[in-house]
Amino acid sequence: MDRRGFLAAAAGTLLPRPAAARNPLDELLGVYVGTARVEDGEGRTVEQRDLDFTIEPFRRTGFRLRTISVSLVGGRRDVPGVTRREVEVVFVPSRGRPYYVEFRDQSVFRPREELQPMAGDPVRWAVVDAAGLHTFAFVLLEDGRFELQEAHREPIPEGLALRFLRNLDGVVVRRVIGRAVRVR
Amino acid sequence: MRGLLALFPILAGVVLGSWPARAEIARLVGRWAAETASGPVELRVEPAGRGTVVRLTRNGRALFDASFAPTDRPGVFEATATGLFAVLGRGRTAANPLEGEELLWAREAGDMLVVSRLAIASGKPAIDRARLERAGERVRLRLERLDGEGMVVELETELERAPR
Repeated sequence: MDRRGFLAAAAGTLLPRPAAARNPLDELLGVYVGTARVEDGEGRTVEQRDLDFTIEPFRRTGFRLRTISVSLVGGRRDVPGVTRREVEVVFVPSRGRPYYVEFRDQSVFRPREELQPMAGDPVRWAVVDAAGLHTFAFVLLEDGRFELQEAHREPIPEGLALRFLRNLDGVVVRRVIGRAVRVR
Repeated sequence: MRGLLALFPILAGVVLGSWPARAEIARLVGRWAAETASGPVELRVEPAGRGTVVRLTRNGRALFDASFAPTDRPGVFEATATGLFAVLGRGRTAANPLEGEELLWAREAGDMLVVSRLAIASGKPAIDRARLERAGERVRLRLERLDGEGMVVELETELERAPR
């Protein structure tokens, strides 16, 4: 190695190395509370909801998304008729593909269950990019029509902007728009 | 003798299974074609065992090319294996869109047969479908694609019966 090569190599070891690219998922992990407005396909508000959701790591590379949704009655959550729904989905990276897929627990004590979309199994996946977290669920209904649900959680200065769509065979029949803040 | 001949379609239906139990698909059987501004469109619908082969091309490129068999759900059909998989006895493709495979299915909607496909392209859902309906001596075709929040119509045309 000549002197010039030696100097270049030495400089390479001394210079700070660029930080490894941050996973945009890291920026989204946390606990959030928020509110949302539910609209029908024509844009009419049909409901108000309180939301409480958590995005937490799962086995180093995946994440768990737990959502509690409370449908209010007359803007209140302490009166009869209020409903509460809790949903939890775990996603893990898809091998060789730029998205996450639903984690289907394959215990050694249980036979492997293949995803059967034709039998009505929901097909769930998620994308994490600079714009946020986007989750999708596709279901083939009994009569052969499809339902596609997509939820977008996008960072804003105050927390996350929320947008959810329920598409029934090509037509949006539900739209949920809201926002959430990160809490301790 | 004539009575026996009259019984033949019924017996054949019992022996062959449910195809073509649905009149909607049976009415589409044949070769159909149209010239459109974006090039030639050709549709072939042929019985194959218990199923039906649907091949739809546009400018010579296959948009849908699959064999569909009835499922447990009335009026709903799933794509079955073709080629080597069929020879090896793997009757169903068990397509998993999460593993990069295309999910193909068909359904009857009134007088219409709707052939659809789901694929996941770079994480986004890609849904295409062809609506096929007999309109007199022709077949009305509408190609749709999921774009944003809804389906957009890519092509609407009527196909005429073409020589085999």
